[in-house]
Amino acid sequence: MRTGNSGGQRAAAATTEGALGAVALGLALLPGVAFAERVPVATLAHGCIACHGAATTDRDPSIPPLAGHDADVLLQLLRGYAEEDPAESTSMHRLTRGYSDQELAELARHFAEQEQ
Amino acid sequence: MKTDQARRRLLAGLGATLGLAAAGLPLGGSASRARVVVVGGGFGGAAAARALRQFAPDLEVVLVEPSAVFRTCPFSNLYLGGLRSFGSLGHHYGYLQRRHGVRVVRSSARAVDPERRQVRLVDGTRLGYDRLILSPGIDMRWDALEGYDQTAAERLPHAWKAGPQTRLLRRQLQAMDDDGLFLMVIPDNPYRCPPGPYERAAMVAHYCRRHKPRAKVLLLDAKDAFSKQALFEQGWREVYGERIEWVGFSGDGEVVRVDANQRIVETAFGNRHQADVINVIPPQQAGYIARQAGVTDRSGWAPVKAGTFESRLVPDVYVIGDAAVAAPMPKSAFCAHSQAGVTAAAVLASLAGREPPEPAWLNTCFSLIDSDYAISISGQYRLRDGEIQEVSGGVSPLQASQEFRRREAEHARDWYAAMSHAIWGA
Amino acid sequence: MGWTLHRLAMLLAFLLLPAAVVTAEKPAWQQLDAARDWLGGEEPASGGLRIELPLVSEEGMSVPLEIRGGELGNSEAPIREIRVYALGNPDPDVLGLRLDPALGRADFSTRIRLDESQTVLVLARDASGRFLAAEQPVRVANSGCLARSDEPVDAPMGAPRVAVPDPFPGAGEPGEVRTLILHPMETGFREGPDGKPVARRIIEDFSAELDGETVLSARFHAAVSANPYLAFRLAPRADGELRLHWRDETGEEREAYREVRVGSGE
Ligand SMILES: Cc1cc2nc3c(=O)[nH]c(=O)nc-3n(C[C@H](O)[C@H](O)[C@H](O)COP(=O)(O)OP(=O)(O)OC[C@H]3O[C@@H](n4cnc5c(N)ncnc54)[C@H](O)[C@@H]3O)c2cc1C
Repeated sequence: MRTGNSGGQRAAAATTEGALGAVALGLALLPGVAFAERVPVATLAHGCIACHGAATTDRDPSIPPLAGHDADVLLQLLRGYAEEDPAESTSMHRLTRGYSDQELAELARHFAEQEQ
Repeated sequence: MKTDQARRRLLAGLGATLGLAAAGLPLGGSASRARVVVVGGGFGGAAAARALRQFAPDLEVVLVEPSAVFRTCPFSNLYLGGLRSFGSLGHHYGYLQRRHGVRVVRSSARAVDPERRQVRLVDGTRLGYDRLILSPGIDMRWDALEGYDQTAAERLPHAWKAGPQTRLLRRQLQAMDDDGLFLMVIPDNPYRCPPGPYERAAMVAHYCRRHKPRAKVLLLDAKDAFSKQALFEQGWREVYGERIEWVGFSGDGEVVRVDANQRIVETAFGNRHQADVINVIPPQQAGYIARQAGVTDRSGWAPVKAGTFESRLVPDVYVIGDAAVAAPMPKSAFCAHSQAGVTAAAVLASLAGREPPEPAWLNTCFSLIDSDYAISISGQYRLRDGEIQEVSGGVSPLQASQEFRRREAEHARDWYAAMSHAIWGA
Repeated sequence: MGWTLHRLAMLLAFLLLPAAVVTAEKPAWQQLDAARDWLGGEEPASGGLRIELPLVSEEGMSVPLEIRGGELGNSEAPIREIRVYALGNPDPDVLGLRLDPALGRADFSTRIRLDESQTVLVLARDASGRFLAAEQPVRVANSGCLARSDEPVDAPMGAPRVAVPDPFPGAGEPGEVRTLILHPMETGFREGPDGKPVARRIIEDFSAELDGETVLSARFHAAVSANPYLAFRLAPRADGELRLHWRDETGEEREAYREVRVGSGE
């Protein structure tokens, strides 16, 4: 998975992230409801961006940025990592095994909604 | 937009339910908004400030940090090895301020007054808060190793906080004789960055291979086992042959006394080692402000509630990063960033009078053995039975191709770029 | 300062609450048959015996334990025997010690294995037959980051390491003696890479003799960490010779001799 990314696009992605944040945390949408069972997708996504947050190098990054991909394609990739340990995987298999399938789907959707 | 409405509703709700920050503060906080103060602009603190503003763009977030430039410990070993410039370790706060509207106050917090919900700065300024996040990192325990105090550290650097100490150690390494001995003193757990000393050993050896071909690296360790040990030992041998020697606790590796003037260290069973450069990594504790605020226990670290990292000892004060007791999560920059995200969400929920959202944390620590050879350890953590538990994870395989090691080295560089971008935006 | 009271209130709220829960539970010695057997119906006193352990350990394989049992020489009823238990281990016995007043102080350091979060109990019996108890819970949060390899260690018992003060501070003044011996202390509880349990092999006995008189004898169990480490105090009255002796289950033995010199004590 390789994508180019320019500075301007990154700024746009940051704005979208911000606007989505409060909603993604589940804070606004579930007034009065305890939401202790599910991990909010914002929390999950915060983990991903530690490595996938930005392509700040001008060469092809070895860790691809996630914003703006097709959700189905992304989900398939994530499931692939979670189920087996593909040869090209280093850390991804170790980490994705810890998510439920629903969480992977939410993550895929979350990043797909962000602009590249 | 629907999301905008939702956000406005959220913030209106916040304003109505909050006891607001104490009035009359020099920063002139608007009484209609909640204020979260974050102390420490390192991996945990800066990430928390940014996450808070991203999650709740109208929240007032004040970040207190004395330095204009933050130097990262991550990749400071690469600087020692000659793979990175010192400048490349520096990050600024301008982007956090301009782009994310974090109010950055360039000062140090001297005291926390939990009753008044105020942080007092060294210049006497008082900052009111509704919630406080402390991410002050570590302090050395200067009383823990006989002969090792702040003066001794000017001769035997620790270089365990990135900055002048890191440059001092690099200068000493450069000035060492070609057949010199580089000796490292390594503490028992817990300490900042469990694999850090062993990556440093590789990076020092990397430097020596080119510039001090006859030099040796000796590691005296207070432990009998260390992070990614098999991978490190294999990598050291493959890349640097016999150059690096590790002596654990049972081999008489625990150093109990140092003599800075003579550059001699003494072990528990009475062996004395003299070396040309001595890098002492002493036992550590939570940064001063955490201890002052009363959030630490007799271990010197801050016990926290597992789901939110709110202090177990002082309400409405959250402690993240190295200062917190987060075991089994290691004291890493990656974890500090991850905790920042979870705690930002917990703080917002608490301000809104809600239950904290379910947490999930991640970690990956890369360690460079050579410029194109890295190993890593990853883990995902969740709350189980009220405690933090690793739910998935693993380390690089012992049997792997050169290509695999090279790819991990590239991942390490991309991680550093992405992580610093995600925090300081540059 | 205005917030001292507030702090006190918080301390009460946060510290006493869990403490109350703990005291509501039975003391550790009541929960363990081995401990009750030894006590034989006596109730141990608390106080006079302190232990130090980390509150949280990131590596259960090697948890530092310190025992502080006070003076032996000038005490009317010096501690004679100490037993250490780990309530949550498959075998709760950890260590037994028999002390002679020649040690000067009943202070020890060692490293033990804790399988999981649990309470460590130390019981002591003094010369008058009275029992003392001290206990502490330890949270074991084994970090994957520090996991050790599963390879069985097939090394024979190694050469002992011993450090004695040279000289001791003064006649009858205690100084610390440190001992360590390379030995896998294979517990018999773990599986090797082939899935079969690795055969148990531990050091069972350790003793220290000063000029032919036994001043300390120790019984190690499987919960003493690999490469057993034991530091104790010795308060020699005059110059002499210290003999240290280890024996493992297979009968293999090692010994070490150290000259004891007593300083002028100025
Ligand atoms: C050699 C080395 C290599 C490392 N490599 C890696 C790595 O590759 N990957 C990784 O994940 N981790 C690594 N680490 C660990 C990483 O550096 C720490 O885990 C991380 O910095 C912890 O973040 P923190 O926010 O707790 O503390 P820090 O990042 O140290 O930030 C603390 C900040 O608080 C400020 N501060 C302190 N007191 C006050 C006060 N009273 N008022 C205001 N501000 C205050 C300080 O100025 C500082 O900026 C490494 C560490 C070392 C030493």
